[in-house]
Amino acid sequence: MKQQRAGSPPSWLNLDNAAKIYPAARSKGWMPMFRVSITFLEDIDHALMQRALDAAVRRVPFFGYRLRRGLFWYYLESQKERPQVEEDARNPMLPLNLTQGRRFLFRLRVHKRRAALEVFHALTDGYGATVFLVTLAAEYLYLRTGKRMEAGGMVLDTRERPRPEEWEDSFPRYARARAGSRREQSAWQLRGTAVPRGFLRVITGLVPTQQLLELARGMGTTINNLLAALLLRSLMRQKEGSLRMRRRPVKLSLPVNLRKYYPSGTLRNFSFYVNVPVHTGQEPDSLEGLIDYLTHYMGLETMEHRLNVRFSANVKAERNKLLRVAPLFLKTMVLKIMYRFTGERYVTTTLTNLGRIALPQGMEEQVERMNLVLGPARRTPLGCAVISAAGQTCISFSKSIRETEVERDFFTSLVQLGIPVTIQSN
Amino acid sequence: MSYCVQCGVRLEEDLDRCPLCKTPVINPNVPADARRERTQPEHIEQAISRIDRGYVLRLSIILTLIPMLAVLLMDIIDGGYTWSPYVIGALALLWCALAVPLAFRLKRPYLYVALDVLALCGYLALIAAMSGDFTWYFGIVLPLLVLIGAATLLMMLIIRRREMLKLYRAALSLVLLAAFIVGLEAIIDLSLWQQVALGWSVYTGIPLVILALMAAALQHNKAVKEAIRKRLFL
Repeated sequence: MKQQRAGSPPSWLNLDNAAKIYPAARSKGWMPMFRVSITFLEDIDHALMQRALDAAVRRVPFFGYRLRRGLFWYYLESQKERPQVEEDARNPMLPLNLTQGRRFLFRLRVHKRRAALEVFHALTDGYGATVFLVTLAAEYLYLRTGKRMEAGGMVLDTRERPRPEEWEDSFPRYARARAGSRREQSAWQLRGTAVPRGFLRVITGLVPTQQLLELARGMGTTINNLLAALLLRSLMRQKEGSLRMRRRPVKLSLPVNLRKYYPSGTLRNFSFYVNVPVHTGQEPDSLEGLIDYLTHYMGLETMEHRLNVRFSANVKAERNKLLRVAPLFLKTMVLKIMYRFTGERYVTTTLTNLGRIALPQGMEEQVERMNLVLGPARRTPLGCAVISAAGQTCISFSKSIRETEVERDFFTSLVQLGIPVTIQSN
Repeated sequence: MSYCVQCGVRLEEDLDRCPLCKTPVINPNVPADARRERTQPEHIEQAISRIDRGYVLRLSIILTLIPMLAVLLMDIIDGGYTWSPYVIGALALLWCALAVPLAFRLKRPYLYVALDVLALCGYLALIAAMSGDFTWYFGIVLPLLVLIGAATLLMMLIIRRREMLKLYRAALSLVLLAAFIVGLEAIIDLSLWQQVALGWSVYTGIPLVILALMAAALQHNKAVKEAIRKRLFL
């Protein structure tokens, strides 16, 4: 990474360890993306939002970088262009055009009271994107009201200079020499009628966070485990009615924010995942049993040394001398095949939970809610994302199939447990 | 505020049916036209085309022209147009067969088949012109190619007529196959003996026509169809 001068952002950056596979895995019709949005109480002023975006990109400069091809690896390069606020569309997360026009790895879309950040995963993970969006929202509210929001937590002070640890690749820094195997059993896959190309069906359930928290506490678990157990149960019910791949387990992928384990200040990718399998014939027979199973499984798999062994395997692969000297086109071919035959094959669906976003005093009163939506995956037709802010938890199912049995089962289960659910859809 | 009567969830006010179970929202207190304006954007973004067809077409022309010019130059250096037209013609034929379908999104199959037959006729005419003898070309090759092209186009027309009953389509295909075989023998006879004396094609054609008639008759006979289905089910 080339450093221009101390404290200033570098002119180019290596892709972080987790991001390396994404440019190779993408195609013109598909790109691993996600979307995090914030809904204010009042309509958004586009001109002010553009000014806030400029300030946020100055504060987190690598968001303004573009993706370039090197001889051996892709890299991020700074550019003079500045991103523009775009009007939102009903079909979110179409692949970004990285070859024409302004080639940013994200786009900011605005519709009425909502600002949505759609991000290519090669740039950052959910945490990094949320920090960027919340900082941007705080700056927008400052420009609108003249009252500066208190920085701290996820809100960065846009008057500060960017810090080098924010663009650090933390994977090699915290990886150790011991590396485990990355091989897993293939998962049972959902199938259905495909929606037209270029469309992603999003069904969002809005739930009062406090009631959900009380329910989870009443069952002796966390919101994350409760929602994961409900989703696993819905998937298992789907599998019962299917004759395909019956021997394969239902596997729920739960991303884990590694910043909780290491003192990393990075805003780039620094998360890993745990795939929770439920094997055929070994299904717990009640929701409580499933919650117990999840609690114990996650308790074991999210131990620091176990996560470290697994992500160290990726870092070790990246350091492989043979792989490093292979030209990019060859790497791209290999990584594409790897992604196709391993990546999503091990997962039935993903449930990502960014948790409760603590907004500063003065900001929370002007925000109605936040939402997180996963982009379409190549193989798994359903994804689920959860985020809580301003007293509301948004549970969004994004899918590339028409069938709605899983999310219907999931939301009606919540209703049966006494949680009111409000449904939105695109 | 409306609730889905099937799922028990509350629905956003701009929804006219439950996204989970598709049940229409019926709320006597809130008429459909009084519902709030849509909260979601109306604008639909266009996806980037997976294949830039214009680019593929231009690239394929360049990739075909380079070897064409190279062989032409080599042939000129060797002292004349002796062998390069064969290679150039073959490359043009290959381009017609592979590049044209890509440029048109694979939605004009009749055009491609007609173009391929024309290109093949042209290439073989070139060979005939290079060898200075057109007898074999007009005697057998051109009629054969026209027959094969016409039969292929007709067969595609029958197979693609999805609204036609399956067994009728099978019957028509068999009749077409019989006609093709008869035409084939006629062309061979005319080319070899300048007169048509049908023999083997009739013996092949008659069973095909009988099979076609059986298929057409079977289409109407539900009992026989059911009996066959019963015995042959897997």
